[in-house]
Amino acid sequence: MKLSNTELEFLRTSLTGTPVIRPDSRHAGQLRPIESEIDILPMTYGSARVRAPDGSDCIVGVKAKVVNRHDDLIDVSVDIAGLKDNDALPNSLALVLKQVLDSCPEITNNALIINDKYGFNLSVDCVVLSYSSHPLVILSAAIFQALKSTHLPKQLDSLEMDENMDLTKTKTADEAEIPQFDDDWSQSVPLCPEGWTPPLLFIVSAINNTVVIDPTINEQLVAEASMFFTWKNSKVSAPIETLNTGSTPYLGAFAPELLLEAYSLVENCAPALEQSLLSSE
Amino acid sequence: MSRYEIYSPEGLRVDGRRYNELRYFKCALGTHAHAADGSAMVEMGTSQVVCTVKGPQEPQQRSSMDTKKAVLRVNVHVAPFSSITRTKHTSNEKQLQELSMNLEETFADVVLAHLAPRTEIIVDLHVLAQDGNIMAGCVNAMCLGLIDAGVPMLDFIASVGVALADSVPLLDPNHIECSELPNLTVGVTGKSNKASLVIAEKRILLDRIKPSLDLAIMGCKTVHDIMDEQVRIRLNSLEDRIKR
Repeated sequence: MKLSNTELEFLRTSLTGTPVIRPDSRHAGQLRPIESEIDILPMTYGSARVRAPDGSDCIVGVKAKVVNRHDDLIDVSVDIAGLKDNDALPNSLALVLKQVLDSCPEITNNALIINDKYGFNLSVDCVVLSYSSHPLVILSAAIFQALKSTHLPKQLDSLEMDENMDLTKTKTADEAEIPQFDDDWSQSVPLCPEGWTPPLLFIVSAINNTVVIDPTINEQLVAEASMFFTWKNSKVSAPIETLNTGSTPYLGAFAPELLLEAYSLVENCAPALEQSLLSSE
Repeated sequence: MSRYEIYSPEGLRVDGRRYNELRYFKCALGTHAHAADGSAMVEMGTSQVVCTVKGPQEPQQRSSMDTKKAVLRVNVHVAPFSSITRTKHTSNEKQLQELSMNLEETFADVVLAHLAPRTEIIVDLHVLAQDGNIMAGCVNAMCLGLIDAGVPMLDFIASVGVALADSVPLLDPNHIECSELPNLTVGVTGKSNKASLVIAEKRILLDRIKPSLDLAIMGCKTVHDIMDEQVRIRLNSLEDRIKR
C-alpha cells in the first residue's frame, strides 16, 4: 500500500525521535519473529521453509551432484513468484547469496571435496512465494536452515576394493577413482561441520540519526539508505554492502558513525537468532 | 523394453499398488494465510504442489481487464529441486505455458467470473516435488486455493491421472509409470460423472479410453471426497475463530 507524504513524514518523525517508535512497537535492534520448518521436501538433500508474519514466505531446497572438481562448486538460484526470470531483484539476490556461500571455506574446501578429481556441486535453490519487505533476511534464514539440514551420502572407503594395487605409488589427479557411496541414507553425513553454522544476513536501515534493524517495507521507504551485514563465524564479516531498496523520497547515504551503531545492532541480535534457529531443529 | 515390471501377472504395480488404488493423498487449505487471499497445498504421493491465489483484485495492467467478467491468470512455477535430477525451468517454457493455459480454460467453466467484473484473479502454482504427471496436482491445488480465497464457484474440480498398461488402466501413475506408458489426466466437476478435463499424452487406442475414463472418474470422486472434507475442516476452524 502506498503511503501519502503526510504518513511518510509521520513515520519518519516517530522513527527519528527519542525513544525510537517503530510502527510494530519493536526496539531499534529487534528482529521480527520468524517461523521455520526443515526437511519438508522429499526430493532434496536438505530443505527448509521460513515464514515471517508480514506474509513473506520462502522455501529452499538443496541438491548435490558429483562433478569433476573445480573452483565453483556452489550454485544459487532465486525464483520470486510474480517477477520475471530476467528481473533484477532475484538475480542480484542470487549473486549476493552465492558470494556469501562461496566465501565459506568450511564447506567449499571441506565437505564438498570428495578427492583430487571429484567434488559435489551444491545447488541451493530458493523459491520466494511472497514477500513484502526485502526478502534477503528470510532467504538467508531459510538457507541457514536448509544447509543445516543437508546431508550428503557417506563415501565408501575405496581401499578394500583394490588391495592388489601398489599403494606406494601416489595417485595423480587423473587416476583418482570414481567415488562410491553408501546407499544407506541413515549413514549420511551432515554438510556443515560440527559446531559451524552457515552465515546469516541482516538488513539495517539508516533514518536521519538512527539505525533500525530488519526494517519493514514502510520503514525502508523513509530510510536514507539500507545496508546488509553478513554474520559468519560469530562476527560481522564481508560482504557488507548497500542495498537498493527502490527510490525513496529521502534517498541519502549511510553516515560512518551510524555504521558502527549498525555493527553493534547486528552483533547484539545475531547470536540470539542463530541460537533460536539451531534449537528449532 | 522397460527395466521395470510395470504391471505384474499377479496384478501388482511397481510401487505395490493394485490398478485402482490412489497414492497417499493429503491436502490442506490456508497453508499460507498471510501470504495471499487463498492458499492450499496438495500432496499426491511424493508430488507436492502449493497454490496461492490473489484476488479478485484491481488488475495490475489495465489492458488485461475485462468489463464483463473477472480475468483468471495462472502462473505455474516448477522449482529446480522438484525432480530427481535438478533442472532449471523458465516460466516461458512451452510445456508450462500450455499447462497454465489448460488450467485457465478448465476453471473458466466453474468459476463464476461474471460476479466480479473488472477484476483479476492471480493463481500462482508452485510445484515443489514432482512424481509423475503434475497436471492433476495442479488442478486439485488450484481448486482448493480458489475455494480458500472465497472465489464463487459452481463446484469442485477434482483431478487424477490414468496410465494404460496394454489394456489395463492404472490409476494415479507415478513417475516410472508416466514415463513408460501413455497417460490421461482427467478432471471431474463435483459429484457428476462428467469429465470436464481430459488430456492425453501419447496416442491411446479408442476402445481403451472408455475403461480408463471410468477408472479416472472413480478416482476423482475419491479425491473430491477428501478435498470436500478438508474444505469443511477449514470452514469450521474459520467459524470457530469468528465466534470467539
